[in-house]
Amino acid sequence: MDSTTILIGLASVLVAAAPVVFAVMGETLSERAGVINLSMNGTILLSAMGGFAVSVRTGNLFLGFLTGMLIGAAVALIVAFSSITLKQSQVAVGFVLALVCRDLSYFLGNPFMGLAGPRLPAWPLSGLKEIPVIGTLFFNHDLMTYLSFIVIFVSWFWIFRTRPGLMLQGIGERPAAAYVRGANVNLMRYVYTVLGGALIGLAGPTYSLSVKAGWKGTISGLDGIGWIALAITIFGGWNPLRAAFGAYLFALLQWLGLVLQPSLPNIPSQVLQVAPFPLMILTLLLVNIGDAEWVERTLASLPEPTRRFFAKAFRAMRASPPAALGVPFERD
Amino acid sequence: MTESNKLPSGRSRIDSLEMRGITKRFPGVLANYKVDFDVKSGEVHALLGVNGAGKSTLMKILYGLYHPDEGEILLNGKPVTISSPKDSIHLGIGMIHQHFMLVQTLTVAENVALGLPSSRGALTDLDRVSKRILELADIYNLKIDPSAYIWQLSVGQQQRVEIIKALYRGAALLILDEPTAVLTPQEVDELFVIMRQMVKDGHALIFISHKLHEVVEISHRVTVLRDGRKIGTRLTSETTKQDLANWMVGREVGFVPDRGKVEIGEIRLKLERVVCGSDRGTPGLRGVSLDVHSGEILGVAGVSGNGQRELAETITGLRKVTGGKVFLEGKEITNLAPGEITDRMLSYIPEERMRDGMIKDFTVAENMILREHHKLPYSRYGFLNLRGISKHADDLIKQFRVKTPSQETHAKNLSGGNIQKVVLAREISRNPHVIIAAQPTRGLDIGATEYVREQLLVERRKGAAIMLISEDLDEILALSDRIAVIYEGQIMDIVPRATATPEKLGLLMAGVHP
Ligand SMILES: Nc1ncnc2c1ncn2[C@@H]1O[C@H](COP(=O)(O)OP(=O)(O)OP(=O)(O)O)[C@@H](O)[C@H]1O
Ligand SMILES: [Mg+2]
Repeated sequence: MDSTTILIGLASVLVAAAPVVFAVMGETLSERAGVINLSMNGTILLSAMGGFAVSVRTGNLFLGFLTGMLIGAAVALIVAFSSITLKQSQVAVGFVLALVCRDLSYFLGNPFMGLAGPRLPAWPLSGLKEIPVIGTLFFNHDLMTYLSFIVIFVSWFWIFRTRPGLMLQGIGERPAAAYVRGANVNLMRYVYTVLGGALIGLAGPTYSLSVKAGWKGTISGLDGIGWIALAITIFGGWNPLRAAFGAYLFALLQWLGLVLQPSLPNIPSQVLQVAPFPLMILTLLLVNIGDAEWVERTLASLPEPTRRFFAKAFRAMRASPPAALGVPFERD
Repeated sequence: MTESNKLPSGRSRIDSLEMRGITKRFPGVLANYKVDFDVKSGEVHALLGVNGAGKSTLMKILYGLYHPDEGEILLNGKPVTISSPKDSIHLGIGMIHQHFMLVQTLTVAENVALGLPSSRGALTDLDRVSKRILELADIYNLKIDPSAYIWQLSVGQQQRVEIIKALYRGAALLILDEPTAVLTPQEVDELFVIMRQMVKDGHALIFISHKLHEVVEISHRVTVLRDGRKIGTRLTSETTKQDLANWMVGREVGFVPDRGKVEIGEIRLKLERVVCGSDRGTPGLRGVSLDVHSGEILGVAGVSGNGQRELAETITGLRKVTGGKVFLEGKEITNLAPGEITDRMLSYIPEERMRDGMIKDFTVAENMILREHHKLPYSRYGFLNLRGISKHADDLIKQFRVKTPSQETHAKNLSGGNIQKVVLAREISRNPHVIIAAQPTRGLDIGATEYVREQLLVERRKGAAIMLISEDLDEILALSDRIAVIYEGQIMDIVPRATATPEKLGLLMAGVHP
């Protein structure tokens, strides 16, 4: 492989990661507010199908993306209503929705199977795309990829640099403290869950109208992405920058699976396709391993400088979930 | 409106605030019944009552956290509706809660800025907030690091954050619900300086405390609640501590601890040059060696944040010991799991009982068997014995006079002091061989304080080795046989009670060898 192939390959990783980024950012916002939206896997499928169907019927790409977001928001609204207002288990409701939405997408998507549909055109940013290396990497993509960059930055900026973002941290961590400072905790939870749901819903059409254009039912290859996105949210420690890193790592592993296939003829192609999933889980395990008793003990026996290095690395990787994640807020 | 109506913060004064005929019922409890209460600009109005009398409930109604079943609130003579904290904040009412309302994962500055408008619109202006915090800290002589995370702070330091937060917001009426429970005497003095200044500026303050000398010192008027009803309001200048105590409890109180003479026995707890880290990354304990004997109370005195928390946590296995050894009844327990250590009959009354001592969503009965749930008579062959649990809970509720509608009530619905009693009852009643008690009477009313101190002495008489970690010198002097003074993670000195004086201890606590 020469360097141009690699460069183009890496650029394609950024494109392929865009939907995962949307989903992970959406989930991060929702969980920051304290609501786990476990429906993600089904939502992505349903919005991919829905967005594709609407675009095929109307010939309008924008309506396709909008449909995806509305589907995501609607599913999130169900999660929000049942967990915030009815105080039901978020895990149970989300899980059922994940299954229902998936089956619904296969069922409703039947008439659109294999149809040729519109596809989001590339939109190179002239002036920027000529910059060596950087231009190819970042500025020679379509609108959704650019949007994914922006969403990462905006989410991060929102959470860590703005007043409402500070309140968001408070709401997920200690809702009572946010409440006594005048925040309407439950309303904010609705807002972030639905907004996060819309972002998750954007992931669907980003697949079906761009990254993996088309709708092929059960063989669309989208099933499972939502679960990985959920894992990446945790890996990302509810921080958009770290979460984005996780999304790119996942896309990179998938890409490696593809490019390595010709040079590894003995390994069945299915293995390479599936490998990124367990690899991601493994990474997740590694990230949180610093807490394990035996690791701590092994660390303690290492020479001081090495020990300190690892201890620091583990501490930097460790992230704990928002303390009130999954806990309904009661004011009385 | 004239200039004189304004407070230094630029906010208008609240000339008078009146609560009329407030009634609040909770399932099985009448928390407030037809209570009248009022406070004026330029005064401190103290609210007194035993644990569970309904003080916090009344104040939460004023702050909009609870809605009264009956009654009305008048501000400057006009009726107002306060349906959420948003409304009360808008009206200029601030509250320092009995249980801190801080976000552990955020910094001091972020906690202060949380929910406030910012000079940069939608963006946070933490630099400005930090600067202002330091200014205020300077004016009021409060030590505080705006960039520290809350989880790194001791309870006393967290209290300071709450005070700074209130000062920063410049509320015209400030409710202080047991602000001094976690402060050292010096810190209380500092708080009183601040409160006096606020009163002079025209603020209205409501002050809740179980320490009567504080009430006598700082307040202008006192109102006493008992069983949710108002007993009366008096001018502080016309009462005494003893009057107030009797009035509040409804009987004569006066505590002279009967320490009696106890044979000092074998060494039950031994620390050998124990070293450990603290949450701030600085060394928490720097080579602490101590012995506690059977039949002895060893007081550990010190200003909050000097290693007390780390000391308790290393003994109980909650914190890694990085150097040195801990022995319990002759056997080494260094870095054993907390469960194993408690099973060897070590009881721990943690300083932050709400966080480390109980499970909020468990019932009172369940909380009372947290330590022993896997043993007879509470469980057998892995099944819980509900009758045994229930009887145990009934006994403890009676003995410790825990005020709760039933043993099935969730712990979070008890009053602050009664939550404390649940933990104390559980830890003391299991016939421990060693007790680590951190601030055991914090937040308890005078009757309950009396009872807990008595119980500690009873356990001592039975031969328990007790380590009493307290910032309250009176308590230390009243109960301890020997007193160790801790300063910056080291034991400055261990003095027998007979030769200990508050002055001598004070110097040691400041790191000076007299
Ligand atoms: N949210 C709640 N649900 C049910 N009961 C409650 C609730 N809050 C308070 N109570 C009950 O109301 C009564 C008064 O409680 P409150 O917290 O006002 O007491 P307090 O005077 O502040 O006591 P303390 O000195 O212990 O803090 C108690 O019996 C308590 O159990
Ligand atoms: Mg109270």
